[in-house]
Amino acid sequence: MSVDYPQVLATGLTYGVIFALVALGYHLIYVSSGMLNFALGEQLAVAGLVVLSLMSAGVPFVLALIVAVLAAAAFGAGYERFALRPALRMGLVGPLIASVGVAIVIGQARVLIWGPNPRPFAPFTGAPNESVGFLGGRWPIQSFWIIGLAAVSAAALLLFLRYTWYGRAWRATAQSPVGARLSGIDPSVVSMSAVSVASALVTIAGVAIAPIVLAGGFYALDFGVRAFAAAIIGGFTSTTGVLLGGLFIGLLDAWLVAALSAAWSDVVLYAVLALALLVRPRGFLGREGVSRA
Amino acid sequence: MSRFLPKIPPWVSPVVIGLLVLLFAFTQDSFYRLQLGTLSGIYAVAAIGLTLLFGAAGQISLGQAGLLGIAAFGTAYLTVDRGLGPVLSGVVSIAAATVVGLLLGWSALRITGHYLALVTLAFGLCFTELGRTVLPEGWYGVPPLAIGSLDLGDPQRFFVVVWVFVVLTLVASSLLVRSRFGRSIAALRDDPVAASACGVNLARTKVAVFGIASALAGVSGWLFAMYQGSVTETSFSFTLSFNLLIMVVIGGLGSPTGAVAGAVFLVLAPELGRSYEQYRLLSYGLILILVLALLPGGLASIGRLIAKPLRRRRAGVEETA
Amino acid sequence: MTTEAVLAGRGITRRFGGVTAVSDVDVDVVAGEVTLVLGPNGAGKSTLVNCLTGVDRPDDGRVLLAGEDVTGRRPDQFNRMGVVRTFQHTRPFAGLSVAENVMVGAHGRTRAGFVRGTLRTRAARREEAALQAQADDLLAQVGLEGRGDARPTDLPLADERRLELARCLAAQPRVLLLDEPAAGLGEAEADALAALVRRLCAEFDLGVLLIEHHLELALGMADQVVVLDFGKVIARGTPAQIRADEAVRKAYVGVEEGT
Repeated sequence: MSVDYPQVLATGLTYGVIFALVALGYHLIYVSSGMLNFALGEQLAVAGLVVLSLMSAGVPFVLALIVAVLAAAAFGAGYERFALRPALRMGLVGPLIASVGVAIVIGQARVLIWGPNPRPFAPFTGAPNESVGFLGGRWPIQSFWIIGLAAVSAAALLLFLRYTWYGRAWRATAQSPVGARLSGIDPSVVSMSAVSVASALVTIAGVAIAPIVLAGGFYALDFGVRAFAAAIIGGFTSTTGVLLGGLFIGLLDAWLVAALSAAWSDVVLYAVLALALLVRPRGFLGREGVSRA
Repeated sequence: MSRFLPKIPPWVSPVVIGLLVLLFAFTQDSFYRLQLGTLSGIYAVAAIGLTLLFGAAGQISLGQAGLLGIAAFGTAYLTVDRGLGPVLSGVVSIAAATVVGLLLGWSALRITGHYLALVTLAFGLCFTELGRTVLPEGWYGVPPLAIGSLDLGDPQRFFVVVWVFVVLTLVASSLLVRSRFGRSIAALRDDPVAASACGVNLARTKVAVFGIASALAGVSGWLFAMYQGSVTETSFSFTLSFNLLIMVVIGGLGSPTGAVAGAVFLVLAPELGRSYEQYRLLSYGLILILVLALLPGGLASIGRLIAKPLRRRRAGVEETA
Repeated sequence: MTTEAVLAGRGITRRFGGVTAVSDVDVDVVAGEVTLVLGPNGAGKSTLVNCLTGVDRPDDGRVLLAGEDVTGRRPDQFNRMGVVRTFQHTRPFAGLSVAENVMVGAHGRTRAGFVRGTLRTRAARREEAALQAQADDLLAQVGLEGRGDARPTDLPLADERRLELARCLAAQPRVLLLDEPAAGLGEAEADALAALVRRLCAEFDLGVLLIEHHLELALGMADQVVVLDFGKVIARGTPAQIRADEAVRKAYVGVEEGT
């Protein structure tokens, strides 16, 4: 089967930046508290639905997006505090399991509130099926919004982490919770805000991708696992690593779908994830495992 | 995660459960209820395996459904396509699941904690996807259990057979946990470095406990194939792995009796609120979160609380004697 | 009592990245004697113990047990060969009772696997009974008589250290390595522990390697002393000789005399 490489590039980059954003969310949380958060995938899937509901209530799109992002941030802080943190009593895998519980709750609530059928979401500009020829492939107009929005969000977050007080607090906690505490930083606040920021990030991503994959479809697990793969391969502890990992997985996935089939691409991707974990769990750019509560 | 080796004699809960099972078997006419009871018993076997693996030994697996699936597919293939008897098919399929489980155990030697969770998750998902691509129609017509001319496929009989397996597994794991091996897996869970310094061969112990858990998952898969009669990969998705985890967490990590209680609860709970079927999975998620946050010891810790004054009274009698 | 070393390190060297934690160290542990490894923080003492017990593998040098080269074997193999150790921060098994902790200590010298253990064969049951009896006996020996059913987390630190000792002894070892056993203990508790160690050393003809950096306490217990600084041996001899040694005094300047 001949592979349409320019199309692989188009699809791969479009999805890749989404994986990168979700992986960035995992990275933020993992580095600040050692927790793995399974719920981000579901938060991605529900983002579009929330905005749709707000818009159908008359709220203009941009405002709806802002409200959804803030609501997600608040929700994230809430479930970190009440579901994830208390589960630490069971050891470091407790929050992982609790996050699976949160994911299930979000997913089921989504079906109860909005029904099981995914909903169409209008692209930010242009008609739904409009696409543009670029570098030999066809790119949906939305792709450019997705890539642009993702790039801006990621850049904003990176600048924020590097140059603000919060960013320094986050990095300090990552290196040494005790040291951070001694400097007056409360690691549990950093942890909670990490989940908050990650939720916001993932919500932006979810709204951006909704025109392409439909809002509220059952793709939370697919996105979530691929983003995990991105974080593993790039290195959970490396900011650049997770971003590059996301792009890599996006391109790999697109290529596998084109070269094999959608179903086989899943099989291969999961196998790749398992292999990466076995062979090099800290990823290409990560440092030796960080683990803390 | 602190869990004491139980001081209650290992025969207590199997006997109690055995009696309850017999009671249930001979007073239930409802086919539907018998089926539910059978299904909870089937999952209970896998849940006991997972509680030994995760609760007692501290090795997390989010992919047990894949192991059940391997045994179920194997059983279906061997009985339907190859005409092998159910028992022989079972032995082969369970062995296959165990071998795969040992491989997972080998991978646990290199990675622990989160990463192990992800690897087992990836394995489970891989299995489901493979099943969907390569064998999407699955098999129909898996014959019910029969040993020679003895037909055990009748719902009431199969129910008893399944629960005989549960009780045997319960007895064996209760004995296991209270033995030298049981101490070594607790040591492995609590402090692998210190365990090694005490002479525990970490590699062998980890692989062994994965082997045990996957053999039990295999038994569960074999029983499931015969129970359901048809096998497709949809029965062995991540949801099942997650449900097994909930059963184990609710029941109390490391407690085989708790695992059985968790399995029964999870399968029967929907019956308590039939009209709330749509809320079922949602409430499982909420229950999981609540249990993790408020009662990490699960149902088993409640059991221990009840047993404590009984034990103290016995001890008191012995002291004054 | 023999004067030949039971456990010996020859030329032990261990590097971490650019830092040489231990450099060409020779050390002998003799049956029935206490060898003290002294040195300020960061001198490489714990790394040395890790190399001598299989927790770490030296980059250079050999570890010899009764003359046999055992360098690089695993900790559980060392245990089975009769080398046991305690840790700087106590590491009890929190999910097991005090008595069960001690019984795990004997894991290396017992044999019932999970099959025989589950089936409760006669041999397995006899082994269990013997383990129970030994645990009770050892707990009594270390001063924790009757505390078998307690949780390790309920014990004060001094008792946790005694528990670790009992756990080590369950292996019926030849060599015992103690990593800062007095850390965190008050004066009286530390003395009591020291007395206990000396008694056990004599009673079981153990070779003891002791790491301490509490100078007075340790010198009082030791038969031989090796002093490390920055990973190298800077002095060797009897406690009296070490007390008088200039190099040692210089290395410890600024550090304790009242610690």
